[in-house]
Amino acid sequence: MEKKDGKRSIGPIVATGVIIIVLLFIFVNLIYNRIIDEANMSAPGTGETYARHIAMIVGSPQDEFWQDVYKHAKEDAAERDCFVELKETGNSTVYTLSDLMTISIASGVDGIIVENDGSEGLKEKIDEASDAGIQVVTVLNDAADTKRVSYVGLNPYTAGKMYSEKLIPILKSDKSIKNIAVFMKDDRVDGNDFQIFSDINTELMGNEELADRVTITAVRIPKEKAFGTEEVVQETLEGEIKPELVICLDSMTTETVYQSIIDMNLAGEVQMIGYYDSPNTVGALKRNNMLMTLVISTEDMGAYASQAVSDAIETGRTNSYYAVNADFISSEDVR
Amino acid sequence: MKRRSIGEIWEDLPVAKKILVEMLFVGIALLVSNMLLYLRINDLVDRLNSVYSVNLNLTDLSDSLNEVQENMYRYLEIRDYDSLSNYYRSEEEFRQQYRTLSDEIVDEPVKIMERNIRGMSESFLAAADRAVSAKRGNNVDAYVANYETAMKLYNYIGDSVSTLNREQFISNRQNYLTLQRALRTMEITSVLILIAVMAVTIALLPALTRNIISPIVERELMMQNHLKEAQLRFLQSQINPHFLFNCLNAGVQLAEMEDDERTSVFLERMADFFRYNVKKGNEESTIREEVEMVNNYIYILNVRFAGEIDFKTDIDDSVLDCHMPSMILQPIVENSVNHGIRGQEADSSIFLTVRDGGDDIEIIVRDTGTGMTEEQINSIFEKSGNISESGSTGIGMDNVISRLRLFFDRDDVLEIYSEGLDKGTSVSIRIPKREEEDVQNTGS
Repeated sequence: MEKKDGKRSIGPIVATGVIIIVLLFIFVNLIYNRIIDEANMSAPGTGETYARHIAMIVGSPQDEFWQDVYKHAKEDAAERDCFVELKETGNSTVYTLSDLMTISIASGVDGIIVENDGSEGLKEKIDEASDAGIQVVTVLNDAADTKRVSYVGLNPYTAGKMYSEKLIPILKSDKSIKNIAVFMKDDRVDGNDFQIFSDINTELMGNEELADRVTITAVRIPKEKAFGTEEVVQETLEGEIKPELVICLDSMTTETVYQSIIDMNLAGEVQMIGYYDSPNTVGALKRNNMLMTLVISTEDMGAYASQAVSDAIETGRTNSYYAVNADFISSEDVR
Repeated sequence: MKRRSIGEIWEDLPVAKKILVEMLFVGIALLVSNMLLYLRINDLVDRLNSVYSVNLNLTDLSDSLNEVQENMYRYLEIRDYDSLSNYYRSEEEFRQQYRTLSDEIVDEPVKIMERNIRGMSESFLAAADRAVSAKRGNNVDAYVANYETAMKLYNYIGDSVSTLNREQFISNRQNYLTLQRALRTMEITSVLILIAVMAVTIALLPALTRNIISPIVERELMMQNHLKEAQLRFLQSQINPHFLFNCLNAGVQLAEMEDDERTSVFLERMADFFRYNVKKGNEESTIREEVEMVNNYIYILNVRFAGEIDFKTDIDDSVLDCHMPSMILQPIVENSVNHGIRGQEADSSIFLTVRDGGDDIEIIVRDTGTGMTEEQINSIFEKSGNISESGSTGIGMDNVISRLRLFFDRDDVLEIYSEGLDKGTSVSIRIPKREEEDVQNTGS
C-alpha cells in the first residue's frame, strides 16, 4: 500500500471494503437460496413430463402387493414415455372401481390397467372406455368377456394346480388337518379365486385318501363392508367348525388372518398358506407360523401391464395374455 | 494527452472533495446493501402472499362449477331463457377457469390431479351441453341420461377439487411456515449485514481519512523544516558581512604599517577565518573548529588593535569533537571584546572555558569588562525571541541565542551572568553531547 513517496494508495483500501461487502452479499444470497430451496419454491415443478397418461385401478391400492406392481409398472412405463397414475379409492368419498373407471374415462386418459374384482358395472365401464378409444388391460383377475385388449396375471387353472400340488403332500403327512377354509374376495363363479378354489376342491375330492377326511370351504369376504375382513376371519376361526388350515388368496387377507391367529393365540393350531411376500408374511414364515406363501412376480405383472397397455396405445395391438411367474416359498426359502 | 489514473485524480482532489467522496462511498455502500436486502425480503413477502393464491383459484373454480350446475338444473327444470343465458355465461366462465389448470402429464400428484379435473370438466360440460340441447329438443330420455352423467361428473370434480385443495393447502402450509421462518431469518440477517457493512465502512474510514490527512501533515512538517533552515541561513548571512568589513580594514592597516612575516601570518589567519566562514555555510561545526575560529579572531584583533587582548583558554580536549552550530563562539567573544573590554583602562581579560559537564558540555566566555545590568541582559533575550527582525543590534547576540535554541530545541541553552556594571560578564552555553556518529544518525 505504501508508495515510493511514502503516501498510502487509496485503491487497495477501497478494494478491500468493496470485496468485504461483496462477500457479505454472496453469503446472504447463499442463505436466501438455501431457504428458498428448503421451501421447495424455487422450481415449481421437478417431476418428469410424459406423453401418455395411464390410469391403474385396483381394489386395494394401499396393499403392498399392488404398491409393488404399481412401482414396476410405473418404471416400465416411464421408459415408454408413459405415466402411470395409481387411482386412489377416495378420501372423502369411497369410490368403486366403476367410479374410478368413469373418472378415468372422463379425465381423458390414454390407457387403463384395471383389476377386475367382479364389482358391479365394471365390465360395462371397460367396454365404455374401449369405445371411447381408451386401451384397457386387466391384471390379476381377468374380464375376458369385455373389450379389454389384454390380461396380465396367473392362469387360474395353473394356479389351482400349483395349490393342489403343494397341498396334497401336506394333507397326507399331517392328518390333523380336516377342515380347510379358503378366504376369497371375488366369489364370482368365473372369477380367478373361485377357479382356484374349485380346482383345489376337484383335486382333493379326486384323491381317495383325502376325499373323505378333508373338507374344503370357501369363505367370502364382503367387498361392500368396510373392515369386513377381520370380522369374517375371526368369525371363521372361532366358528363351530374351526379350520385347521386357512388359504388366503390376497395379501390383505393374509395379513389379517395372520394377525388374528396371533391375537387369538391359535398359532400351532391353525396353519395357513399366504399370498405375496410382504415383510409381515416373510416374518411369519421365518417364525414357522405360516406353511408357505404364493409369490406372484410383481415385477412381471407391472412391466407386462405397462407393456401391454402402451403397445395397444401405440399400435392398437398387443398379446391378449401375459403370464406372470408365480411360485410358493416356505420358511426354508427365507432363512 | 496522457490519461491520468484514478490514483492521480484522487491525489489532485481538494480535501473537501475527498471527504465528500469518502462520505459518498459509505452512503452508497449502505444504500446498495439496503436495496439488495429490501429486494430479497420483498421477494420473500411476494412468495408468502402467493402461497395460498392457488387455493383461492381452486375455490373460485369450485364456485364456478356450482354455478354451471345450478344454471343447468334450473334450465332443465323450468326451461326459461334467463336460465339458458346464465348457463352459457357460467359455462364460459368455468371453461376459462379450468383451462388455467395444467394439462401436462407430469409425475407430480398435484399436476396429475389438475389434469384430471381439467379432463373431467370438459367431459362435464360436454354432458351438460348434451343435456341442455336434448332439453331444447324435448328429448326427455336423452336429457335425463346426460343430466345424470353430468351430475356424476359434477360430484367427481367437486371431490377432486376438494382433494386438490386439501393437498395444496397441506403443501402450502409447509411452504408458508418455511417462508415465514425464512422471512424472520432474513430480517435478522439483514440487520446483521447492515451492522457488518457499517462496521466495514467505519473500519475503512480511518484508513481513508489517513490517506487524505497524511500528505497535509507531511507537507506541514517539511514546511516547518524549510522555514527553520531558511531562518538559520538568514541569521548566518547577517554575520558574514558584519565582520568581513572590519577584518578587511585591519588587513589594510597592517599592510600599511609593515610588510613583514607578521603580515603574512595575519593574512593567513584572516584567510582561515574567511575560509571557515565560507566553508561552514551549513550550520554544523565542531567545538574544535569554533575554538580555532575564536583564536584566529583574537589574533586578528590583537593585530588590529596593536595591543595584546588578554585572552585565556581552559579547554577540555576530550569534548572538542562534539558538535554545535557554527559561528557561535566568535560573536560571543566579539561581544566581549566590543562591549566588555575595549576602552577599559584597567587590565581586562577574556576567558574561554570548555569543560565536560557530564551529559552536557559547558562553554563559558567570561570577561572582566564593563559588565551588564539585568535590564541589558533581559533586553538581549527579548530580542532573540523575535528572530524575524533583521539583526540591527550589530553584534548578533540575539542571532546566536536564536540559532542555539533552534538547533538544540532548548530555551536554556545560553545564559548570561553579570553581577552589575564594571563587574564583568559571563556567557555560559550548555550543549548536549553530540559526537560525529550521533549527528550522522540523526541527520540521515
